[in-house]
Amino acid sequence: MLHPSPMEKKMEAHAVSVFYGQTQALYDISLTIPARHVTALIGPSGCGKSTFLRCLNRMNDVVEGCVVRGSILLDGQNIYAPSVDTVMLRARVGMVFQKPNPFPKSIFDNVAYGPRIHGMAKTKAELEEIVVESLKKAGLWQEVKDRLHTEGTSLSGGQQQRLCIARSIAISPEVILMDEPCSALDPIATAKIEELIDDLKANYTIIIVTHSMQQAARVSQTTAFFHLGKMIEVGPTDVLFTNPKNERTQGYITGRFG
Amino acid sequence: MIDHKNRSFYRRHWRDRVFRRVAVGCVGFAVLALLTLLTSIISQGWGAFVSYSVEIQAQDIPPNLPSSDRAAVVAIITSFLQTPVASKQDVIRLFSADAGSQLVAWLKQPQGPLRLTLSDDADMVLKHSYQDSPLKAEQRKILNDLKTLGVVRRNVHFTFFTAGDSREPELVGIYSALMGSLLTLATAFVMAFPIGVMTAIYLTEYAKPSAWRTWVEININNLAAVPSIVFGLLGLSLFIQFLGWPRSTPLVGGAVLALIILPTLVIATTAALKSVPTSIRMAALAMGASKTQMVFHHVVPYSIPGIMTGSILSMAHILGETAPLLLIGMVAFIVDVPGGITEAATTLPVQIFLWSESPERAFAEKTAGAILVLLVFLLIMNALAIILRHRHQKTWS
Repeated sequence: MLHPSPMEKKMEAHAVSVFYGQTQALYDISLTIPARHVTALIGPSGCGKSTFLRCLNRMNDVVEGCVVRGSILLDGQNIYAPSVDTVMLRARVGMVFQKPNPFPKSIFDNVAYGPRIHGMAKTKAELEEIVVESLKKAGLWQEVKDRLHTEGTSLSGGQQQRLCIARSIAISPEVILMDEPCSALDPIATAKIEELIDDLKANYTIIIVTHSMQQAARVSQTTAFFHLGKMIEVGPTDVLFTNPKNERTQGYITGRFG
Repeated sequence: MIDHKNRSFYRRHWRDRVFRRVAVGCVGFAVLALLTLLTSIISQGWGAFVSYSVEIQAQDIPPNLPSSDRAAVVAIITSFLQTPVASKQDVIRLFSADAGSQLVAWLKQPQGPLRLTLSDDADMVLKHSYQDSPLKAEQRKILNDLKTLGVVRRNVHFTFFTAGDSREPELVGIYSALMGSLLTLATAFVMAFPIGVMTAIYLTEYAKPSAWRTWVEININNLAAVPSIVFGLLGLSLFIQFLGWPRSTPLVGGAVLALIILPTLVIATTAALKSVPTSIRMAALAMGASKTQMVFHHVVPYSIPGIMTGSILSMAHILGETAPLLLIGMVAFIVDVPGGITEAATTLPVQIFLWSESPERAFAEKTAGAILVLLVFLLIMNALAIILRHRHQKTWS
């Protein structure tokens, strides 16, 4: 078993409910995210798993009419407290999106953007070091080292997604949120990203939303199953997939609905 | 099984063919209309770019010329023709009002042959051989004699590009009107661009959806549809009567034109900003960029080609604007190039309007010539907009 106990808690959600105007999207979600660990959120479309993910770095703030109740702690501090600055929060909790979305800038500038706005490098050499290091960590360095100044959008889909991962780890976040990062990619690119996630968990806490139960089983140590805005079951991935306690979880993982 | 030989099958293909033919017919009609317009303007306007003059070699100029320059011109021509002429007036009226000063200038610096510009009536007869010309029979004979002696030359009419307005059609030029247009357009751009772009940025990026924002947006769209002459009236009462700015000047003209393009500019900029996909905005925010960093590091830079295209097209739009400028007095008779935005000026389309009202036949070709120049400028601006749009088209992953 891969669970060192007692597990260090990185994030904790307490009774989180989300409303989009009149409709409630999430009901009383309480979940603990262990540090340096991959947590997978699974469930059918529209179950609220992406909504929950976006609460963790307050990306829901930009959605008009979205209200979040409850509390989410990052290292014991409520990220919805009035004193918390979303800019600082998002520097600590990075995000990778469903569709690769590199900036229409060079590969170098894509990765250098975060360090630049957060003033992480004093000299050009320092900045270059961060960029190279991030590209290496994202497993993209060998493929792009000769063309750092070509447009990021000229890369293939899988390379673009790894560029986006390099871009988010360039600012050394503590947590990386991944919203179905492989759903737009082919199986080979998907395998590369999954390998990368496995490497990254040594240093980062990763929360991944996925449609693919196989992916959740392959990359995660903890899995939470969401259904109709409620979290039905959470547990160690191997237990949840082999011996689910709830019959709805069983129904979903055996493919009876989805 | 679908019966492929049924009636609806044939009817579908028949409709397809009819639709295609109607569409091709429409395109053909549009192209034909355009060609007719161009041919008509070019056939009328080519004459504005060439002019006829009489060139007399230095050895053919008699000594002891009369002291009056006009009399001297007559003396030179009569001695060259070596036939007595009935009326000196007939001779002098064949030449431009400028011929006297051309002779004086040549006498000061006698280099090459003496070149005397012909009057507009003589010029028109040489270009078009009109039968109903105001030239008398004697004048036509003199002109013919000069022609057979081989001293009538056709030259490129540079005066058209270097002179200002004049009472004499053979001496008019578009230079001061062109400079007036340039100053007016520059004033309009400097006034409208920052206001328009900042308005669009605020409305699309910062303003929360509210009844107020909707109201502003609807009214900006309505303003874009307001006839330009209304803006001319507004300019007259606001800038000239209330603020006391000098009338007939590029300052007032530019301010009025700025009001006209402001809504178009806001709409074009808004469209350019909105074309930046949400995913890019999300990417910037998720990197910890603040709202203003997101807007000014990403959204605005990526929409600059769109904003530039919109600006160039709105500049092209006001380059041809005439009516509002008439109201604020830019219809003045302007000979000199305006020295600044607070001096009286006119613009190219207004100059065209002024010339089109002149009774002399020669002004018709000057009008068409100026229209050609205006069209060339519009073509250049539109081509620039298209090139910008193609060269900087963004691909979003």
